[in-house]
Amino acid sequence: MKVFILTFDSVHQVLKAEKILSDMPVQFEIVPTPRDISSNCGMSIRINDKNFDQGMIISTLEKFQLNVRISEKSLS
Amino acid sequence: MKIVDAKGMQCPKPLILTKKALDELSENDTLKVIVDNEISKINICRFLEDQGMQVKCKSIGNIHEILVIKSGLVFEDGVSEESCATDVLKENNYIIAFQKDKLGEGPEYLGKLLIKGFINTLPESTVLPYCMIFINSGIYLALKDSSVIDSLKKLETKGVEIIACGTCLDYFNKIDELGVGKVSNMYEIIEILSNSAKVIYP
Repeated sequence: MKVFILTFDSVHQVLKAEKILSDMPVQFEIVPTPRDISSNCGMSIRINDKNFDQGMIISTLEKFQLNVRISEKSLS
Repeated sequence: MKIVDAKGMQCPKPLILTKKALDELSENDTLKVIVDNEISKINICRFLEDQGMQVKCKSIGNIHEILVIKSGLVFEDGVSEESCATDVLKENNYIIAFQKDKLGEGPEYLGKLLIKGFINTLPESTVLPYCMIFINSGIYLALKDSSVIDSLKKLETKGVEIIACGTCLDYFNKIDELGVGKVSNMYEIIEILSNSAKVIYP
């Protein structure tokens, strides 16, 4: 299964992003940042829906000054 | 006396060797089995006791010597891969007791974020707990509108028993909102906690 990992610069940004995403039509989970993804922050947001609107999510988060990076990962 | 040296062997091998040696033994003869892991010891002792034999066990460090006197017929069933089914249970012989809806002490937001990360990674963990208990404000994690409900449901389908404290659901007036597992009481919770080799309080 393919999932998307959203990483941020700090845990504060993760908290903020969590709040923003919870008002958007996307299903996500808070997960520890996978070991193979480098990030300053130990927590990430995982989106399991491969059809989510990546552009919309990024632009919304950036509107709130959140620096988000998206990595694709296959989950065993 | 016959000696089976099963050091360095993993279940079910020591058990199979024990059974074989027992078959070859004459009535009232003594068998000594030496193993170097706890799981094999427990399995062999249980098997022998199930056969109605008196078992004596001496352990020095990791080395366990099991002494038994053959009496009666050895039943055919009982020695197979299934005898090791309990190993799987032993391997994940731990439970997690959630006493609050946060992980650790500190700022509320951080604690809530951490507990989500904790629970959401559990379904992918190789060694799952066999039971998860939700007590006090921990029950909020197991409610229908909890943000970790999908992970908890996944864990339940993987065989993890999920138990919520009934008194707590009642106190918070959330009896009808439990989204996973079953409601239980303190008798069962104490029984489960005390029977587990390890309890993790996140």
